[in-house]
This record gives sequence, structure tokens and C-alpha cells, in this order.
Amino acid sequence: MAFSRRIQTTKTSRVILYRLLTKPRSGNLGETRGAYPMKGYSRIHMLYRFGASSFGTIAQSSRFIEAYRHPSLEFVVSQSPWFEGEAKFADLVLPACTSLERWDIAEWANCGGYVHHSQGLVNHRVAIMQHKCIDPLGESRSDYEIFATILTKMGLGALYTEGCTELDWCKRVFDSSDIAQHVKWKDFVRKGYYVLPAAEEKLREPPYFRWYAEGRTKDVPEPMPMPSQYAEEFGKGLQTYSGKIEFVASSIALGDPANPERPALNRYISPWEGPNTPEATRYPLQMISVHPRYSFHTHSDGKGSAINDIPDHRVLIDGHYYWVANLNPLEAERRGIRHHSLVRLFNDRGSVICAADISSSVMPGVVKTYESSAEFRPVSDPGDKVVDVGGCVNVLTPSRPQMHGTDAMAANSCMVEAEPWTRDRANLADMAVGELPSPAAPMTH
Amino acid sequence: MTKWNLIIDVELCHNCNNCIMATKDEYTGNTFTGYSAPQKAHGGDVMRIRRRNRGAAPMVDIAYLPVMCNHCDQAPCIAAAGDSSIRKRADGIVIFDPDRTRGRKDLVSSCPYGAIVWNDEEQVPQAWPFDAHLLDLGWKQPRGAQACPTGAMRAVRLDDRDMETLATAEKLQVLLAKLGTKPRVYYRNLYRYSAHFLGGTVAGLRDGAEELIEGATVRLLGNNDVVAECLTDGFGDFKFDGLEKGSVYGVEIVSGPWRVRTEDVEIVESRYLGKIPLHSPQPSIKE
Repeated sequence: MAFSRRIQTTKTSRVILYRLLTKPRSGNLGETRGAYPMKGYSRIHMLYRFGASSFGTIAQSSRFIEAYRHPSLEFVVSQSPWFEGEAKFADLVLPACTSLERWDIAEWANCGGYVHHSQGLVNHRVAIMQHKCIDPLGESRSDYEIFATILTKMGLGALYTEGCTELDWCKRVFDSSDIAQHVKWKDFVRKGYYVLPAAEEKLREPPYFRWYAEGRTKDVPEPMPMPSQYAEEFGKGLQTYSGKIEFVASSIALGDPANPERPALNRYISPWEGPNTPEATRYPLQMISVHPRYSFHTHSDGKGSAINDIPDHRVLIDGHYYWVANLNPLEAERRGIRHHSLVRLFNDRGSVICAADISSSVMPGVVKTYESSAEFRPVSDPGDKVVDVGGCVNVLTPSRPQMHGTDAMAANSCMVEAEPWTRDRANLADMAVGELPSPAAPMTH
Repeated sequence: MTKWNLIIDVELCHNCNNCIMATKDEYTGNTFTGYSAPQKAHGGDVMRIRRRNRGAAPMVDIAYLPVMCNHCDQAPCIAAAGDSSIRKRADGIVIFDPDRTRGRKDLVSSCPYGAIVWNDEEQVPQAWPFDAHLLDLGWKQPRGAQACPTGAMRAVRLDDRDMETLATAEKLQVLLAKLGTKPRVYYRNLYRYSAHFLGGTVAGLRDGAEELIEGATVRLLGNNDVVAECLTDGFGDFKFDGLEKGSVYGVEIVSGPWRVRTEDVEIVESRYLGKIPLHSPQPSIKE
């Protein structure tokens, strides 16, 4: 067993330090959520939202309806290029232009704070100039211009802009980098990109895990384990406390030892919402909602994009492009659902209308669809809760994390039923936000 | 005289739709005088991908078939047009003159492959023009082939005799050959879409426990003659593919001292025979 006995017996002080460092945000089992607002803090009065498509991406996303319509939230601004689901809940929509309508400068595959050194994954580092192809359409403006205008009204415009336009900022970023020593600004703008020459051998990043193969001390940055957490030799080994492959994870054994949903020795635990739980009697189909194949999260879905015409992405039925849900022929026949007909997927959390795609590639007992629809179009359907024809199947998924004390969404622990649906059951004109039914709160775990 | 042909490998197409998107990008909203009127942003794609599911879980597969204008040498649309508004170029490409075919909705139904779409905005019938406007500028491949990440689609410029040799060597087929339209779009591994399979899983007893049998010899019998033979894989699976609808086959399995002969089945569609036990004294397949 790789779990180091030294941690259990002799390193008590280290354990205490670890506990202090990683004090659980929400109690050991996640039951005691922090009070809102936190003591000494104000409630949120105004929400300024940047982008508007989270109905497709967050578990049990009809919670957003409740949040947006909460009486304590006085004002909502949505700064978005598209009139996606959440924008409909804004008091004020500030139309932002797309990236094709503004200047920008960036480095290929450098996603900033998200992943460190991520440009190391590409063969060549490339600096790119994003040309403004057309002027912003309609009343839209670039994000920078919107912020600059607001701050100018607040008397802070000069501090924010430093007198620079977007293109000026691109030039300043260019001048601040080493690239300016290799290529002229005008040439860079004309060409649109610059491939950085490979660094000298001695300056190159060492390959990942080479240190491990050669039994050396780590020579690439790694967040885990933290300096205090090395049970064996400091700076050596894998990312576990022991530096070894652990069958019993010492980080869990020490940090969250009494969590029955996350034992230190990994094993199968049946889902709290699944084919063998009480939900299955009313909602016998397990809904698996994977990442979409033809769009990247909500990017390039909906909005009249070309991929709407891919029949494995959306299907045009009676003038509307419906999100696709796959059903096994047996389940479809049992319910009278035909290929490319409308189907209502539902549970106590709401309903989503999809185009049924009958395929033997899906097991009986399963509905397979995609998360990340960029369209949220709630329609009325008497006697129902939220009915979305946009395809945000996350309306149906549980908000409970996979394991208590973690933040992992459990979108695939979701039971639903499917039935044929016809358009005349609902008024397809988008409902005014004020008429929306309150989202349901049952089926919680 | 060399002419253009398109070769599509059904086995390599995995439905990414890059060819469709690239072709849409080329023609949507763009006029190529003499070649194409602007195509619609939505609906009426001149290139599409058809899908066929075969079998049932756990032995199931899906084949994708990109379809478009076949640039037939005996093109029914040219005959139906009755004038030279649709013409056959010397390099084999069929071109719809956007001006002269305007209003000719009747031409849509002339194509036995359904490859002609009606553009109600421009009031013209449209088909995939092989990206002739690009080839005429020196492009080596049409957009769809260029965008294909698996190399499932490629254009070749050969004289007809060389193409025939290639088609024979690579076992290429055309769609609905019996119509005699002589398409210039060829498919490799078309059986994945058009034919059927017969498969199953072989299991046996070892020390009282059931196990899947790897390496069992499986023979496909047609009229009691051995038509094909294979070994079961690590999952005990076997699969005979490319079987024609209406044909009748049985399966014989031999492993060590065991021998099993299934009942003959008529191929209606792809079929998974399920688990075939080797230990049963009188083995038969479960219907």
C-alpha cells in the first residue's frame, strides 16, 4: 500500500497544518453552507452579467430563473453579443459586438490564468493580431468601448483608457513584448501573426515527468502537492503526498476521512439518482448529456449558425431548430416516438423539447443528448413547469454535487421520462419573463 | 484527356461534417458567375451526410455516406434540361448555368440521387459543382476534400481508363450503378453503408464459470459451403460483413473439442446472434 504510515503516525503536526490550509469551505459533508450574505457584507443588489448562455451549461439551470427574479436583486445588466437565454432576464441589455468587429492581440493557446504555460502544448508559439473585419453591427459596441463609456460617465474614463483606443492597446501590448525586437508593428499587423523562433535549448521548458523517469527533483512548476504535503522526499515523486501511485489516496484519508461518498480507497458507489433509485419509477430513462460534438460549449450553437443544419446537432421541425436527443428504437416504439419527431424530456425539475433521433447506438433505458445548448426558449405549457424548446437539458439535471463536499456537477445522475410532444400544446412565442412559472425544487438530494 | 473524379471512403467518414461546412462556407452568399448563384445559408445543402445504424447493442455500428452531385457521364439532369443550360465539361464536371437554369424547378426531380436542391431565394436549381471555379484557378482539391481530417474524400484527375483500373484495384463502387448514369463519384467500403453483417459472441465454461472464448474458429456457411472464416476476438466476438439482403447463412463454431452449428438465418438487416454457448449439448441460437 502506497499510503505512507509515517503520515498517520508521526506527522500529526503536518496533518493539523494541512487541515488549517484546506479548511473545508462548506463543512465536512457540505451540509453547513455559509450564511448569505456573509457577516459584515451587503446583499447583492445588482448583477452585471457578461455573456448569457449558462442555462445550457450549469446543472439544474432553471435555478437561474429564481436567481434573476429574486426580489432582492434590484437590477440586472447583460452585456452580450447574442440574445441568449439569460439576456432575456436583464433590465438592460448592452449589445456587445463579436470578435470579428473589434481589434485584439493575443498568443495562440495561451489561456491566461486558466492553465499555466498552456502555450507549451503547441509546436510553435504564435502571436496573433485579430483584425477588425467590419464595424460593429447595429447599436453594438466592443466590450472595451462599453466599459470605457460607462467609466467616462463615472469620471474614471481617463484612468481606464489612458487615452488609448483598442488598437492603441494592441500596439502597447506588442511594444511591451520581445516580439517588437524581431518584427515591425506594421509588418505584424499586415501579416496578422508572428511565429516565435524556438528558444535556445538551455532556455526551453523541461519535458513534463522527465524528472520522474530519471528520479530527479521536479523541474517544472506543479501546484500539487503543496510544499508542506510531501510525506517522503521533498520535490520528488508523483503528485500524491507519498509521491507514489496511491490506491488509498492520502489526501482524502487526511483531508476528508469521514465522507462516505468519497472513500480514500476508490470504489463504485451507486448513484443517488439512477435506475435503481425511487425516481426511476416515474422517470425510468437515464439521461446522459455529454459535451456537444459540433459546438464548443455554447460557442457557435444557435444564433442561426451553419451547424444548425447538421442533423446530428439540431433538426428543423416546423420552422424551429430543435436540439437532438437519441433514444433506442425499443424505448421509442414503447412510447410512440418517431424519428425526427418532437419529444418532451421531463422530470420534476422541468421539461425540455428535443427532436428525437432513434438510434441503436444508444442502450435501452438511456436518453443520450448533449449539454451546452446556447438557446433557452421557455414556452408556456399549462400544468407544466419550465418548458424549454431551446434544448437546455441542464434544466433537468440535479444541482447536487457528485459527492458531498465537492463542486463536481452530477449532470449524468439524472432520470427523465420521454413522451411525444406537439407544438400546439404550447404557445411558441417566447414568454415574457414575468409569466414564467417558478422553477420547481423537488428531486433534491 | 484527364477528368475529375471524387473518391469517398465510407469507412473513414466519421460524420464530422467538415466537408459540409467548408462547402457551405464556399457558396453561401457568394456569386461565382457561370458556376453558381449564392446558396442559401440554411436548408438546401448541396452536400449531405446520410447515416445508417446497423445491428443492436452490444454489436452495433454506424456508417456515414457523404452524398452530392455525382457528375454523371450519362446525366439525367442534362437530358431533362433539353438545352445546354446544364452542361458536361470536357473535364467531366457537370455545371448548372445559374442564369439559364433560373426558374427550372422541374429539374430537381430529374436526379435519381436527389442531389439537386431548389433555391427559392435565387429561384435556381443547384447541385455541388465540384468547386470547379477553384479547380479552374489551379486548386488541387475541392473544399470538402481539403477540409476532411481523415482523408475520406479525395478528388483525382485521371483519364477514364486509368480511373477504371483504379476503381477495380481499390474495389470502388458507385451509387445505383444499375441506372447506367455513370457517376464520377466513387465509394470505397460502400458495404459499410449498403450491406449487412452477421455477428455473435462465443462463450464457454471454464472451471464452472462462463467465459468469452477468444480464438474460436467461426465459419460462415452458405448452403452448407464455407463462405468465410474468422477467429473470435478477445471479447469472444465475430462479425461477417458485406452480406447481401435476402441471402441465407448459418454459422459453425469450432473451439477445441467443441463444435456448434447455428440455424440458418435469412439476412434482412444486420444481425447480432447474441451469446452462443459452446458448452450446451444441443446449442442453438436465441431468437
